[in-house]
Amino acid sequence: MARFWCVFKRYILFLVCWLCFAAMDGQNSVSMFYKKYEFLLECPMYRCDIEGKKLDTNRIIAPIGSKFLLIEIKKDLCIIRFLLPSKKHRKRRLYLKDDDIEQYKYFLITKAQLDFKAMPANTQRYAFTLGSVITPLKLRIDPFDFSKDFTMGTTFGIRYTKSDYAPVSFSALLGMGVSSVSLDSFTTSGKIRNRQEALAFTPSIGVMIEFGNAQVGIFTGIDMLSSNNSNFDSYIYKNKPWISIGLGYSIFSASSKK
Amino acid sequence: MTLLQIISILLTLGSQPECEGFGICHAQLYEKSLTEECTQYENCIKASLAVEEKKVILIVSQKEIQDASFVRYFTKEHFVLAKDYILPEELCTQLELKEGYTIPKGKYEISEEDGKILVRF
Repeated sequence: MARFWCVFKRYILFLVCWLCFAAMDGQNSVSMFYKKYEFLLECPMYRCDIEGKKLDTNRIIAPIGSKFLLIEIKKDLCIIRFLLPSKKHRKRRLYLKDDDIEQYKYFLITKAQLDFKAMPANTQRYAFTLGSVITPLKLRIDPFDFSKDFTMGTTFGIRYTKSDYAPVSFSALLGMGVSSVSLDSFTTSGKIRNRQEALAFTPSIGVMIEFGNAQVGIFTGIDMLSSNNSNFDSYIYKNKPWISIGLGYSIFSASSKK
Repeated sequence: MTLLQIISILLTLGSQPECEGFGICHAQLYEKSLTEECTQYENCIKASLAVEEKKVILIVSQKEIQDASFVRYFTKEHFVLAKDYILPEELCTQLELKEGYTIPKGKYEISEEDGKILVRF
């Protein structure tokens, strides 16, 4: 059993390290297939073909709230089109006999209008998120105590963004990390006299609110000492949850924010 | 996916003096003689209706719609019906729907399939 725990601990440590490195590497791995925008102001535009050649001199005003794909930027001009494939009905295609692929309506707007009148539109309300969280202070109950047994680790979960405009999102996260646990006379029921630090594997769960890239949340978890540790059985918080405030920084998120 | 029926219609959209609210004002079976006059107006478009699993789908071809109508009615995420729309009897018959079939008011997603504009009611 002790040998198993030793191997398990090494495996977990390796996994945590790997996830941390993967998360750091992950910030550049978000691939964007296309860019979706929304007009915040009415915007003048002109019909064009897919290469940006103006087809009509009639000016058309795009309404506020209309969403479009950016097809191409050519110098100071942008080629856009409005129709968006449905995510909801992706699996329920009609397979119509004739298609209008050659008939897409493309429009020209200036780059300045794209910059000042449109903003990236968030198509994905829910997204996978991966990051790291530090819990600098832990509150323990039964018996009540607080300590600086910090945990550092990787978290992953689902992130919900309510609005395209407000930079606020909420996440439900699962985490795993490594904790530094203080063992002393109090926490080991008097078994040891001198204060020691021990490593523990810490699975946790929590919710987090995110403003921009800064995150704050509430977490709870369990510090699991190695069964090799001579104080394993005397640790009074064995299998007892702690509560903590988590501070985080989102490293990677598979949302469609551009 | 089997479409039971597709019919061509002329559709008058938007808020009209004789219609309350925003959405579908008038729908009728397509008649060539009416098309020229009707489609002079920005809010009159040639479209198709289909039925899929007892739900009505509006299909609009991009080549059949004026740029201004397209931009005005089909560039947002949703097609808004401010009021319930009762399909005319002739359309119900053609689509093999019960007489008085009603499309309830609401917001319906506008999507695209192979360049066609689709609104599933």
